[in-house]
Amino acid sequence: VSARTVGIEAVHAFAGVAQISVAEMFRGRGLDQQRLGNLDMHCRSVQMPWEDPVTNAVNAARPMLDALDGRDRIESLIVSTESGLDYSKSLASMAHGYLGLSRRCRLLEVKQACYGATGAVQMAAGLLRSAAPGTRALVIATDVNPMDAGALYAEPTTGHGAVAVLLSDRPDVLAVDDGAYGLCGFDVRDTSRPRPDLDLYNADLSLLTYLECLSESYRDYQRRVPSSDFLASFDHLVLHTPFAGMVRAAHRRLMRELAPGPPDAVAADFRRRVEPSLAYARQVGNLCSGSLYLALASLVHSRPSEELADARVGLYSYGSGCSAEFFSGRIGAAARDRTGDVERWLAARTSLTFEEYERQLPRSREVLVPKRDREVDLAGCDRMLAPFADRGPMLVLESVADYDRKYSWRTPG
Amino acid sequence: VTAAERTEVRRMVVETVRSILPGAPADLDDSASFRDLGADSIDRVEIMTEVRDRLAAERPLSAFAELTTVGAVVDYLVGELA
Repeated sequence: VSARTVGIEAVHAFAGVAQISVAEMFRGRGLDQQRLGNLDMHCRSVQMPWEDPVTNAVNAARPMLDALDGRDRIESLIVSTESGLDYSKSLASMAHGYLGLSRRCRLLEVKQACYGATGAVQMAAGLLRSAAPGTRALVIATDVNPMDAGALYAEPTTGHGAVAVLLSDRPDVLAVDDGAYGLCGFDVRDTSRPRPDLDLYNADLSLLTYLECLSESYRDYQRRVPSSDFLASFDHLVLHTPFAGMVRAAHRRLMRELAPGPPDAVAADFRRRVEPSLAYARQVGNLCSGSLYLALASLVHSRPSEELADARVGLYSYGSGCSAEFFSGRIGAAARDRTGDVERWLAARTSLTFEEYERQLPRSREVLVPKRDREVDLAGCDRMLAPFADRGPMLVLESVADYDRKYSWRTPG
Repeated sequence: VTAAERTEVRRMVVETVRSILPGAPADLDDSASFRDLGADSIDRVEIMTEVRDRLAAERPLSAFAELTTVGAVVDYLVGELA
């Protein structure tokens, strides 16, 4: 009996309504301009005070669901986040109502830093393989990054937003290869968030652990898929992208280990197989566990669908702490049509000066900290939502009353 | 581990550092920290992965994260040879 083919039917990213250029951040923070090159980024999304993990999740998924025939077939909603808002009540339950999903639905929040969404995708794929034909599952990776000047060079790389990933037995975007995965996980304290507004980040430990897990999870993949060959089996590689420069280093590292060659050949392989996945990350920053799926969207938009249909992709997800997975799949013929117009919405973001960024930063951070009652500063909200009018209504955080977060729909324009 | 072996490991570490940080002096002191030499996190990752590969070291890559100076990396690698 062969298992049913399941995978990703659609992907929709939302990376906020504001951005700041990374060069501008370096200027404002007085960071060493020479380090810009190794980050390999243009700009990053910025959280505004009326945005939180719930609004990001809903604003990412809603346009995708509005275009979908049969959202009532979604039987699982799994929200992956490292920006949880409650110890008990899941973000999935907070998003469920705003997304108009069926009550016949599992609701779950998962957390494993930047790996969470991939764990959720694999769980959803497993559920779908045993479910009735036509059943769907929705995974939403949603995060905000509360970094400030204390994060030094990590602050300009941090992103903001969410990626909605719809799974079913109609994998228009990516058919997940059944049984083809490799794992690596252990206890390491490279990143943590002991408070809602405090990220602790050991850059050297995190980057080295990312590389260690990449080698180890790929070797585990190879053990399970003995016929696989790092150079020949994967037309493209999509890797978790804390910043584009890290992915370049990771590719170099893996090539040295698995397929050593002259620097020119390694660079050419990077340009051909990896670089197409980095275009959006260079404009968004690290989207945490959504970053892998933003990278997948970037790849499928990099060239005409007919060139990519059926291409095999190797995907690597790494979440600090740590859990990592290398898995694979084949691109679907409708991948481009089912991954939204990311570029358009990235271009719609309002560009902030460093001074504007500095002014709003404490106000955006404070809405992540539990407080009994709170009014949210909505200054600039309507102006910044206006370029998103064609997306339809957008969810906005307005206040907190007796710990209950109050959201409202705003129709921009 | 003989003095000659340590010298050889040290030569390899200094060579690697200078290939990634061309501005680093040839007479690098053991106490020279990678940060002070101008290495960013990607440079440091490159240094650690390359010295580990060149010595075919067994210890996990993540263990190299706490090594911040030339001397610390040399001692660590020499310790593995012992």
